[in-house]
Amino acid sequence: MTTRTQSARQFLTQAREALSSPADLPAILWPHAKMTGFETLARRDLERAFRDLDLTDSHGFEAARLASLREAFPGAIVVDVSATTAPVHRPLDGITVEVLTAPPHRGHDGVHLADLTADDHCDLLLEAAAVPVIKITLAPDHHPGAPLILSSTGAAANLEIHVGARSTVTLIQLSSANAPVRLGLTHVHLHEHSLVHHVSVGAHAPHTVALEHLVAHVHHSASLHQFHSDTSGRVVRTRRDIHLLGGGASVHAKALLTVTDALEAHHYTHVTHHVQHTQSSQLTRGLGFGQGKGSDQSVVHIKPFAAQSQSTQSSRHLLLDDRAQIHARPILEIFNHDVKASHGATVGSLDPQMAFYLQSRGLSPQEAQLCLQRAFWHEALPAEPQAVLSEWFDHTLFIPLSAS
Amino acid sequence: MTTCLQIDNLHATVNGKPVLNGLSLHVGLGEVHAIMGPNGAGKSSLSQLLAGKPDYTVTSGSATFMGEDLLNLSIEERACRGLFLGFQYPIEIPGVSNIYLLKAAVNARRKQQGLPEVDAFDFLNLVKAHTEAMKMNDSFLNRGVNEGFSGGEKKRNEILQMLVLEPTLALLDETDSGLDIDALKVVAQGVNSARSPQRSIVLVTHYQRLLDYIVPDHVHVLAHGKIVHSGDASVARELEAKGYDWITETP
Repeated sequence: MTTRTQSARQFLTQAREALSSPADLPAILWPHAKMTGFETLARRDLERAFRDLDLTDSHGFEAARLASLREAFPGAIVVDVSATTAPVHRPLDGITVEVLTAPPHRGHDGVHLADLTADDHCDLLLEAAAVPVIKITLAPDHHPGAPLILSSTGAAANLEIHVGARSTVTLIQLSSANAPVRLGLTHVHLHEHSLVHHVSVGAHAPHTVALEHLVAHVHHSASLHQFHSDTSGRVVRTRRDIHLLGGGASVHAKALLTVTDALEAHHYTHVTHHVQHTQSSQLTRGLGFGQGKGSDQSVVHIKPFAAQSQSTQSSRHLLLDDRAQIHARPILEIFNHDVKASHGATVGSLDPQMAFYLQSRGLSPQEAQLCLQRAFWHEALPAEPQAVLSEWFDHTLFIPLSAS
Repeated sequence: MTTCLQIDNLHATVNGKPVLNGLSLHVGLGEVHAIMGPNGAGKSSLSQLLAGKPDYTVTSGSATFMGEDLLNLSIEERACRGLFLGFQYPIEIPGVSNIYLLKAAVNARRKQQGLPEVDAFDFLNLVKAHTEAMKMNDSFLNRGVNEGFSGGEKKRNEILQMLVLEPTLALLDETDSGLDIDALKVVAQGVNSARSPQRSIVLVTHYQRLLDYIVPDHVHVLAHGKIVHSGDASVARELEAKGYDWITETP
């Protein structure tokens, strides 16, 4: 049994032992989970999933689905970053790909286990299982003309991305698993004056419990545009921890949350303004179909020294069925008076006046609903590459959902 | 003359409250009618009911449009058959561009008529011509429907939609409200340009000033949910001079 006095290293030792008997893992992982999302998860599903845990499973789900997105970027540089296979890549100008088979210990020592989040546990689990880290480094002053597609297939993903100073890159990270559990961890480091568009899309098997964790360190005058969405899976939990570490650093975190009868999804985004003159915006749009349920928790934490920082939060959700549930929970933690911060959260249904207006122009009720849905979630899409993603989500997710 | 709209002894309620109490109206094809009346007379209720707004319940009476039972048609069927409602308060729909809605609406009607989808190039030219006529900037087309539009811009956008959709019957619900004199003239020019032997227009308005620019063939006074007086364009001037009281006493 775990106790409050255990250190993370003790947890690691225990997790290593537990990996040989995965049925014990839920007891290790979940008692300390504090996040809203986990409180609503179907515990039986989780226990069943972890009973069958296999972090060596390298299979993805419906390869064609993500392949269709890859095809939308014919000039893109594709790197296989699946932890369970050797990375496949061609020599890339300015980009290096390494496999760290002895991953660095990320330093949870001395922290009481009760203070660790479930995501910390997952990170430690990846470490315990010695899942290799795929490290991608973009050289300073580098501007690849095409997006970099990171294909992450299988039960485990452990990725570290370094974007050099003054570099600009679009990263499209596609995650897919067929295993009962997927644990995904991505660390992104943006060095000064770099600009990163990071698009993260998950498409997992209908029985997969996926836990994805993004940690971003944004340095002086660097800018991160991050987007995340999942199109399938049993339960998907996404956590984003973004640290604004240098003056002029900014993050624009967008997310599209879709919950259906088959997919339960939870988003948790935590932005920390560590220093002054930093800027953040969080925008989540959610759509609830059938009996789907999910949550969006957005936290902005402005440290005492982060004067003249600016932050906005917007969490809006549309329930398309009386039985759907989405919980929105925006949180501001501000420890400096000289900041600008705002937040807003709404959960509602389609506006019948809007539907009437569109129908009065000849659109059928189904067309009107799809049109309004599209208008609603379109705002959550990243500016880059918006058109491709818009079409892909339409055909992959929303048109089939609306038809059903 | 072909009958475009025929309403006989129509009674309707909204949330159980009567709003139309035996309204009868005949609109011939190619005619322009004006319906005037005080606040709460039922003018907007009539136009929204005819467009199919689900809030309204018809308790008795009938309405036919080009010989077809209008009340049995869905909202979109009415639109596809050529009935257009110009809204008193046009709805803002962020994320749905004006050009997208116009094209979807045109194609919905063409589909009902058994025609192929409109050619993109021809469509754009047509829309741009009407946009210019309505003194609207092209950039409006790519903005969300009515999103951030002023009151006058919204009304002009309604008339732009009418011009592009070329309806058989246009119900214009207080198109003049909230317009300054210049915008009123532009809107009136747009409506006048749409006058045709193949199109009927029903203007719902409080004031005579719109009818200075769009001269109707017939003017009706609606009060207490029914037409209480009808006549030619001179009725509007008479109302302007005398008000509604002399004609709308409680029955």
